[in-house]
Amino acid sequence: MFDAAFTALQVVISPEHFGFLFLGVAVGLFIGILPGLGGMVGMALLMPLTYGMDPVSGVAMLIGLGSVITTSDTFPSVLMGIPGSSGSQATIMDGYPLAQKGEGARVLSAAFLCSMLGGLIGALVLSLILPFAVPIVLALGTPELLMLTFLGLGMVSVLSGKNPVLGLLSTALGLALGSFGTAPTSAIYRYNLGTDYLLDGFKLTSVAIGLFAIPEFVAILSRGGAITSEKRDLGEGWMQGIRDVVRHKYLVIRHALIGSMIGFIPGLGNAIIDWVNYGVVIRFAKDKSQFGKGDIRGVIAPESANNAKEGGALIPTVLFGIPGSGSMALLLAALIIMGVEPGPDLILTRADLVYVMVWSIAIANVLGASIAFLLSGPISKLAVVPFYKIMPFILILVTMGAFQATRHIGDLFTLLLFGIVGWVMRQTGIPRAPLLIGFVLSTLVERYLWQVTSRYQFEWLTRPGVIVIGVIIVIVVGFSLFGREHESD
Amino acid sequence: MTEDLNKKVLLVFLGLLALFFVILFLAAADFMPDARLYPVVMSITGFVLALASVIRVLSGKEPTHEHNLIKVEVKSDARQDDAPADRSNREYRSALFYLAIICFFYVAIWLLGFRVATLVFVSGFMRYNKQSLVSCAVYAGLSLLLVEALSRLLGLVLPAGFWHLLF
Repeated sequence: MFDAAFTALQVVISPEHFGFLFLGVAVGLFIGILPGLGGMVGMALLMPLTYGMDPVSGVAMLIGLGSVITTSDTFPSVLMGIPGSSGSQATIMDGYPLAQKGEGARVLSAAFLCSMLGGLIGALVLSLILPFAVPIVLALGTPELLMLTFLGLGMVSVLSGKNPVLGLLSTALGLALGSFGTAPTSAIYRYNLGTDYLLDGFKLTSVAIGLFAIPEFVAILSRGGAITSEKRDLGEGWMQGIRDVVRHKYLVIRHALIGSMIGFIPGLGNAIIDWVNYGVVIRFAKDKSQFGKGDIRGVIAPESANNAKEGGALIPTVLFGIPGSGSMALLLAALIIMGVEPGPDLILTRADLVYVMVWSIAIANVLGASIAFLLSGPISKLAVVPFYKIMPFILILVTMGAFQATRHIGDLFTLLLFGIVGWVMRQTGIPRAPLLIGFVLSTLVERYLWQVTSRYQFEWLTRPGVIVIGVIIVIVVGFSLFGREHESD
Repeated sequence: MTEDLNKKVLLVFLGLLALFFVILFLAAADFMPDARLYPVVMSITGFVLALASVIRVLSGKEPTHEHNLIKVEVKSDARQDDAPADRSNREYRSALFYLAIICFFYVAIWLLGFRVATLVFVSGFMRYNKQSLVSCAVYAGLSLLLVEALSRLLGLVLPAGFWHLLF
């Protein structure tokens, strides 16, 4: 393991791979600044570039992107009171009032520093867990893996929205759409509608971009086009922000650890992590009087946690091949595109790649925070550029990218179809992440299902591991379905 | 008003999903046994969930407002003195309009090819957003530059369209 970690570091800092990591960080910072666009759009933007790329470069680029979005999203949150992404909503509560008092620079420096430290702690947590992972992975058989996949899908379904039934429906839709094309268990073409294009099913790039990028473009434009014309001075207090973080160092560690742990749970996204940490810091604070009016601890806690989440979120993704969020699903999809089979074998066969992920998180967080510190002036100006001036270029980029999946016009019509479906889902409150995760995992679920039914018939249901995981699924899904109903009653 | 509209849209969407799952189930009957199990299980599950969702919406248990979203408070040039319902309806119409523009862009790519469609789309979009003709030309030029640079740099293939077949 140590050798793999050291080799991975050497690979990541080589000029070629570092260049791709830097590209991912730059795009991530840019996407984070634009209010309304999150990690999914960023991943969708860069994913097409991974066709034909070597896995190390691709992984470094995508992880670099995902790691720093929650660093730069602080700009609009603090300076304009608008969340740059879902991971910076709670930062507004105290960051914006402080910026209004002329202490924007203090908030930003504190936020960047604890984002970086949070990211590093998240990477450390991931690296500490990996050595213990191998025996766990080896102990799991296909029936347990199938049940773990169902557990991940169930948690994503019921936790990623307010309506668990709609979440489950969204997952079922994703799993069903994944059955288009060649069956993984036999050479049978299913639901290809008589077209060559669908012989391999819908292409993931088009599905992901359609579901997440197009609806966000439409929603932002339809709300008025411009994000805001209000410009706020960065104010003063760069050094004070750093001193604040040093003074509250235990707060940073505590919330980074909470962020990593919550990140591990599939379905709990940035928004929840942000608010949970904000709630915790208030709960345990002796003096609560300044929260909501401009208390720096209200910035430090969520900012430490949301960057640490990435490390935690990679644990189920890497160890079991179960992505806990839409962006992790895209990372898995990118691995498939680059010829790497995600799943439990990854840690056994490609430990170097897993450590590339760890190093990428760590380096990306340092890079992202440094760039945000150094270029805070020009970067903050980007947030006030009207969206209609940026949107055509991003749309062109994602369209070009989507077309590279098969270079068939069907890619664009798939993109359009899922764009419309995604917009309807967004409007009507049906969570979209479960659809994408179901779609990505559909082949794996079908293969596992076929293996266990053909090898064990129904006997696999009596295995202790299967029963334990089954009970957990029933509790999690049942509580969400009936507990929430009881709450609303 | 928008809540009602969302509810209607949700019901129509759920109805279409239920129909979709029925079709998947019926089509799966023709597959070989090895390839049939998974789509059958998924289509039945999906159909049951779609039906359950319809019942919950009709019984008022399913809230139909937007959720899980980043609420971007736009400080725009749009009229702010309208009632919230009027503003929401205008946003709905506006969203449909922008979706139509994106549809137009993709149909244009199919018919005219990527480069020509990009020029038409960007200049038209900027003109719609009240930019001067010079600005429109600049944006269109920049977008074409971006397309050319990326396609040459990364060796990307782009749709050529049908129009060149005429010459």
